[in-house]
Amino acid sequence: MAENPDSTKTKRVVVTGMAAVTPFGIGVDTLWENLVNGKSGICRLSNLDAFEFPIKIGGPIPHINFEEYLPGLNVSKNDRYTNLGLMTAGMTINDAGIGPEEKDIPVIVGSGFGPVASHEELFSIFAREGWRKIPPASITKSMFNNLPSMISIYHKLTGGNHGLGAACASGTAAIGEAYQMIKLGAERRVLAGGVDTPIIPSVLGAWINMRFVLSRNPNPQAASRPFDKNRNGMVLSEGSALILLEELESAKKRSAKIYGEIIGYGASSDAFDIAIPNSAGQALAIKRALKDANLNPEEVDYINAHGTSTPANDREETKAIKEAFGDYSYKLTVSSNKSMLGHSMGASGAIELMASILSLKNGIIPPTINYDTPDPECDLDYVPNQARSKPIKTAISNSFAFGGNNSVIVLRRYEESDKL
Amino acid sequence: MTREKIKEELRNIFLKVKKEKTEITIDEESLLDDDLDLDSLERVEVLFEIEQDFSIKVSDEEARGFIAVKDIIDMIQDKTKSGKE
Repeated sequence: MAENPDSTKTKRVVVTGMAAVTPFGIGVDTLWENLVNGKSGICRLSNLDAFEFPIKIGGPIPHINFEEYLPGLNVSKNDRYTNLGLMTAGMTINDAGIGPEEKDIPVIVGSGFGPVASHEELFSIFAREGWRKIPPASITKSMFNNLPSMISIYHKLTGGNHGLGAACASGTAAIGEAYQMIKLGAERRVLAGGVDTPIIPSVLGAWINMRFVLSRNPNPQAASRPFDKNRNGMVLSEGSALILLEELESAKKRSAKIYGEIIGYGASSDAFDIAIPNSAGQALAIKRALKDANLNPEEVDYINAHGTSTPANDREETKAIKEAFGDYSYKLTVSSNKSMLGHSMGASGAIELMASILSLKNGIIPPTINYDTPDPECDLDYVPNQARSKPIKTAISNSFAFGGNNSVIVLRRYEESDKL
Repeated sequence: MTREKIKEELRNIFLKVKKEKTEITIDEESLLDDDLDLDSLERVEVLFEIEQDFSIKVSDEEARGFIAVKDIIDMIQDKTKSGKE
């Protein structure tokens, strides 16, 4: 751990740097503009035609020349996951205005799959040619913590690093743990978020064989339709999103720009089933997050939903919201960024947290697109199809993952006069 | 195999391991650390490629003795000449 600034007091935690690479392209501005305009980042995956998959859609990140963003690095030696994360980390550090003398910063990167393309490559060589042909660099290239370690090496961050695996809640859990480190006074700044690149043949094939999980809608842009009665699964996508969390006084001292404040984190385990979501566990995470933030349910304005577009998730999430918020649920605005971005697994929570921060800052709530037919089991206000202007002060961002891993973060529009 | 041929093959291995798009120039005196800038992992990758390409085995002890390109050429020439592993 980095130098302990002060462990005797509870600290306010703000976000002073953000960067994302998504199916919309590079940057937070691109992400926000497309979300607000209700655009879809989903397309046909023509490069996988040879596999004759029955499901041919996804949300890949458009082509990037990584060398342009990572000077001096042999990008061809890295997994795509690593290059994306390294590039995003650099953009976040620049955005936060962190100088070379201020790099005693820990790194926590959440991911569902990590450098999975390297695993596919390694096991293919092993199956085809035996162990003698496995390249020695396979070990470091495919280890789960390759990216956080490479971030520390390439960007010279000395505060310790690790990868965090909590399936589709990984990015949110990474930010939640980073928030706690700063809140409790153990760290001054932490770089955290999520990166996932799961669109490779073996992973896509496994998802397809899992049945009823991926959307079977042949129209790419209409395939992800959270909370709509005719939803029939999620759309697999890629994403990379890292933020710099910082203790408020530290941010003020260096006159950093402040995007927003993180005021609570709650996690829970369903302790129920490895793949089936459960509203009771989800509601528990929401309640814990609100308790950590010292908030009454009625003080929340907006929920950035997990909203995957699977029949089970959206039904259970709606139930969980009702359990946590009671009658007030019907006054809440709820929307799903995955209707536009698809599901980027461990990156999704970090991307959605950024979108929530921008919603608070700009007073605009991105819509849930493809919402055509109401489902009696999903009867909340999902901001259908059109963004909504609404000044909001407090939001929560939900991530509910396989394994029954639930992570919820509470965010507040930053005002200096606010209290803990 | 001539020293020149082995050196040329080694140059290809260094290119492959370093994944450099630009050319690498080596001579027999080139140092693995200072001139070729091989890190710990790249040293292992080079050994792996040498074993594959020349169909020989290189022991850990032999590998520790490699300081310059000529040390590797000596070892390869010795092993390919005598046919021993």
